[in-house]
Amino acid sequence: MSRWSGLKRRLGMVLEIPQSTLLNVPRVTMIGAYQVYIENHRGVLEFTSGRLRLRLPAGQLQINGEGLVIRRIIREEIFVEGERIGSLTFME
Amino acid sequence: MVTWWWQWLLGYLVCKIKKGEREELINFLLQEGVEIWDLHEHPDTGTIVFCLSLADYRRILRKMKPLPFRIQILDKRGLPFYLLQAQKRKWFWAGSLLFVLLLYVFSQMIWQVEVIGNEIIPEEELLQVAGQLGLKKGVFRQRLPGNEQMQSELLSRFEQLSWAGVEIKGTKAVIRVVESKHPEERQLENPRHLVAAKSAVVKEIFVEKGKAMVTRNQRVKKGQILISGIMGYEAKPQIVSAKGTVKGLVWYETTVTIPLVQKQFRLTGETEKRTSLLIGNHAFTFFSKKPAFDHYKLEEHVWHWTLGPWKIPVGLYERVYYEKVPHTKTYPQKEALELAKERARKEILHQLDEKAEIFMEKVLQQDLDSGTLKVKLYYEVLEEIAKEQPILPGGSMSGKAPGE
Repeated sequence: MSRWSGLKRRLGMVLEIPQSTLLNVPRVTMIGAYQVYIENHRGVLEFTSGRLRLRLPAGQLQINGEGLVIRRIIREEIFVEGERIGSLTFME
Repeated sequence: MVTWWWQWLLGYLVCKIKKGEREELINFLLQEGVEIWDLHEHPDTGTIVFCLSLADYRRILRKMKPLPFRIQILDKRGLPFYLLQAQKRKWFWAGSLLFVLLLYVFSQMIWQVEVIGNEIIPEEELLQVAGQLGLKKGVFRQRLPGNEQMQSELLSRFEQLSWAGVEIKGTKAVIRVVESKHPEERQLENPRHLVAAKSAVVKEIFVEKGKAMVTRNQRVKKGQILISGIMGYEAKPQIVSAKGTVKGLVWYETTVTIPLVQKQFRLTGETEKRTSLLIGNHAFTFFSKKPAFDHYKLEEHVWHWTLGPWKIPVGLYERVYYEKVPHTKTYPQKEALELAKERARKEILHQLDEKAEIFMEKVLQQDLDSGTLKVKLYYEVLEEIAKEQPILPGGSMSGKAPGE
């Protein structure tokens, strides 16, 4: 993966293709500390109002917070809102 | 928790899943392409509550049968469910639909036909003709004859019209007509003279047609020809209908009697009001009796309550009583004289037409006799003295009236 990812990255920059498409990694858009929009995930591992764990193409993403609510979830996109989002952690 | 009205329109379900199965179920739904929203953890239990669309639910229901998860439906929301409910109240909805339909249908018909602008031609005639053409209450607007057709029909049937038009405003049709203004109808041109109706002194003479026979300040006797209808020479006479105005001074004498002491009523200023409810033509009074005046002047007011253009037969009937007391009034002679003069003036002018003027007024004699004043008055009045006199065929050809 790493051998290719470096090449892909460079190819992406040259052709000006967004990296998330090329590299098959999630795209995380965060607004303040209360809204997160994640594209390109692979499923929900755990969901409570305090913690959300998502499976990624490579590894996991853990979101800690309070009052977490999944506003929308469809296929490979998820839109999370919370009273407060404390941390996002990428894990293996 | 915000869900779109769009989802309400299509119908959605609020569901619950229990702890343990949750995450797998969510992933399963994601795989099937079902969109889920508003997921949140139920505070007390470990359950998750979420919403999904009705279409999706129906789609995956079968696929879920072999699988171990269970979706529990908490609530069904949206238009499809509402319609199910509506079916139980079929007639309510059918009735409201009928109402809307009827409203539409009725709005496409004519309910009122009005005629504006007619002074000579009676309304009923115009309405009748319009009705024959197809314009009357209760017809559909579509089936009405065209504007030009109505216009030409109306104009051809009534010659007095110079213009006619039909305008349809909503459910009201307005027929507007303009009547042709003829110059004043000329009266039948009978050959005639204008003679004096009374003896007088001619003050003004204006000849429109004919030959003047008298001059200003000339004294004329009753019956004398003022404007002759015979013009032209002796050899070639021409007979016309004399027309004109002759004004002269006519004198009158009249006597008026005025008693000096008169019994009258005087208002004291005390009033009392009685109000009663008016239903139809009957008045219902509560708590009232006639006021304690011996004599009164009564003023009555009636109000009907109106709702827009309609008068409902309920109203108020109010009576105001003004107290009067008998009162004798003594007129001094001077006042009585004035009263007498006024009365005389009124009488004289009443007998003549409006254009007469009182030229001179003179008190000839005053007699005060046992409480009454007798006044003899002399008036000179300027008034129209011309009167028609037809020229009979075979009558004299001279300028004098026959028999004079």
